[in-house]
Amino acid sequence: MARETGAKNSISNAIFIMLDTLPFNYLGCYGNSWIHTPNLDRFGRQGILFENAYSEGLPTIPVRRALLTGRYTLPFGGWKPLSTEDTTITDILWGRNVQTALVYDSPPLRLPKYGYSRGFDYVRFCSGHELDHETFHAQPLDPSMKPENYISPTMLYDENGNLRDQMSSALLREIECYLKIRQYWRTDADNYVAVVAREAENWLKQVRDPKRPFFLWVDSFDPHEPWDPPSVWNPDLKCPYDPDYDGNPLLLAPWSDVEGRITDRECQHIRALTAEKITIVDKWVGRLLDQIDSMGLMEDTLIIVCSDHGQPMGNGEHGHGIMRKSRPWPYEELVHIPLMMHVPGAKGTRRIKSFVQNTDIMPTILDALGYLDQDALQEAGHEGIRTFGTQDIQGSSLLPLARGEKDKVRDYALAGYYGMSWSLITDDYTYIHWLRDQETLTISEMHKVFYDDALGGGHGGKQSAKVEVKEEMWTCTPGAEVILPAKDELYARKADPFQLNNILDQNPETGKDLLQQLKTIIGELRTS
Amino acid sequence: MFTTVQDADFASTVDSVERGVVIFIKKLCPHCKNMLKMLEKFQRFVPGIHIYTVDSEECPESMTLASVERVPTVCVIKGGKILAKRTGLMNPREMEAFYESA
Repeated sequence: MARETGAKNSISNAIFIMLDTLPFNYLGCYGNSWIHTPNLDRFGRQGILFENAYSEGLPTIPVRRALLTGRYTLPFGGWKPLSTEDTTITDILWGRNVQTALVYDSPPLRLPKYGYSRGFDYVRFCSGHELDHETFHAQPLDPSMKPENYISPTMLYDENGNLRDQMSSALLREIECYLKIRQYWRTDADNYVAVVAREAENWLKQVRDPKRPFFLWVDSFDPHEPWDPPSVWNPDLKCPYDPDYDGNPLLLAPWSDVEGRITDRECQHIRALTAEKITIVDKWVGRLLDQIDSMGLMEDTLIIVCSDHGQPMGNGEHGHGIMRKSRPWPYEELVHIPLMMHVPGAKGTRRIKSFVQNTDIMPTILDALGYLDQDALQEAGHEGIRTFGTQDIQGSSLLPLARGEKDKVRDYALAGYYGMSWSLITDDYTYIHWLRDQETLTISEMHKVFYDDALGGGHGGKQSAKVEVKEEMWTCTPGAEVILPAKDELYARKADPFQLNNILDQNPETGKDLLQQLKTIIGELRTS
Repeated sequence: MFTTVQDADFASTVDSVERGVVIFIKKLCPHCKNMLKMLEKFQRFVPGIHIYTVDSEECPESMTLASVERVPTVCVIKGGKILAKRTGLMNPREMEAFYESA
C-alpha cells in the first residue's frame, strides 16, 4: 500500500555499493590529485556528493549494523552479531514486492552466527578475502612463492633473526593463504572487486525478475588489505604510484604501532599500493556502473556509493602512528567517508556540506522505495508476523537534501568505537572523549576483546560483550559539576582537519561545552 | 503527563499507586532530560500508567526513603510498593521489559 503513496517518487529500485576501507581523500572528487579514479570521480561529479559524511560506530561490523538498521550503534554495542532486537531493512522489506540481493566478499559479515546476510532473497558470497583466507589453506603453494618474500623482514624479525612475536607467525600464515589463491591470478580481472562486480552484474542481468522492483547491496571488501594489486603478485610490474620502491612486495603489514616496526618509506609504499588497488576498484566499479546504465536502470534506480571507513597507514595525518585499525582512534583518516549518490529526478549536480552519517543510508533507501513513512513501517509484516519493532530509525532520509528541499539534516557528526572512544565533530571543532585509557589498552587486548577474536572466527559476540559501557557514566549525583577529563582532546577543525594539534588545554570551556553536548546527544540516542 | 512529587507526599504517593513509575531527576542533568523524553514514549506503549518525578536536589528525604543515590533512577511501583529500581539510561523497549518484569 505504502509504495503508491510516494507520488513524487520516480524511483523503483536501489543499488547500494559499499567499497570497504576507501579513504575519502584518496578520490579525485574529494580533492586527491595523485590517484587515478576517473569513474568514481565522474559518478560524484554527475550526481550528489556529500562532503561531510562520517561513519559513527567503527569499524566494519558496527558500520554494517547501522547501515542495515538505520540506528546508531555507538551507544549500544560494537563488534557483535545482529540480534532479534535489530530491525533491518530486509526485515522491513519482508513480504513486500521488492526483490532483495546481497553480493559480497566481506568475510566479517559472514562470521559464524553473526547473521548479517539475514533476510536477503538472494545471497552470493565470494570467498577468500581477509578473515576467510583459511578456507584455502589446504591448497598447495607454488614453491617459488615464499610468504616471507611478500613482507618486509624487519616487520617480522628482530635484530637476531628471530620472529618478533606471535603476530609475526600469524602474518606469515595469513600471507601464505593469500598466495595460495593469488598464485593463479593473471590480470586484475582476478582481483576480488572484479569478481564481486561481475556477480552483481550477473544478478542484475540473469537472476532478478525485471518486472519487479529491487534492492541490491554490493559489498566489495576491496580496497581493504591485503594489498594485492597486480604489482604485488606480478614480478614484471612496478607499482605505478611508487615505481622506485625496491623492497619486498608488501602484501600485508603488522596490525601495530608504526614506531620500531614499519619505516616511513614502507608506510609510503603501503599508501601507494592502496592507491593502486583503489584505481582497480575504480575500474571495476566503473564497469558495473556502465552496465547498470546500459540496462536502462539509471532512470528509476537510486545508486549509492560509499565506504565504511578509511585506514590508518603511518604517522601524522596518515594514521597518527599506527598501521591498520589496531587502536580505537576515531581520527579523520578513519572516520570520514566518501558518500555519493545518483538520485533519479534530482535536478543538476550538488556538493552537500551537511553532516550526514552512515545511519542515514537505510532510511534513504526505504524512502526511495516508498516505505519510510510511519504507516508503511507499522504495517511491515505479513499474516500476523510483525517485522518492525518499537525502536525508532534514528537516521534521516537524504533524499530531501539531494532534491534541494533541505540544506541539512544535522549540525554534527558522531564517530568512535563502542566502549572505547567517542568523537563529536562540528563545523568548528572535533572533540574526542576516551572511555578507555589508551595507555593501558594493549593491541592484543583490542583484537581479542573488541574484535571478538575475529581472526579466530569470532565468538558470537561473547568476547565483544566484555566491552561494556558502565551505566555510571550516564548518571550523576545531586550537586555534581562537569569535570573535563585530562586525556580528552580538542581540535580546531578548519585549521587542523586531521587532528594533529590538541588545543584542549588552551580552551577548557569550549571542551566542557562540547563534552556536555556529546554526552547529551549519545544519551538521547541511547534512550530512543 | 507527569506528576511532580515532593518530600512531604512521597511515601503516601507510593502507597497509593497500584501500577506506576517514579523517576528521580536533577534539573541540570542531560541524562535525566533524555529519560523524561523516553518515559513520554513509554507512556504511549502502556496507556493509563502513572508517572511521577522527584527532584533529587529538592527532595533528599525521598532519595533516602527510596535508597536512591544517583540520577536518573527509575523505580517501578506495583501494589503500593517499589518493586524494582534501575539507575542510568534505557530506551522504550528496555523500559517496557523492565516494567513488565518487576
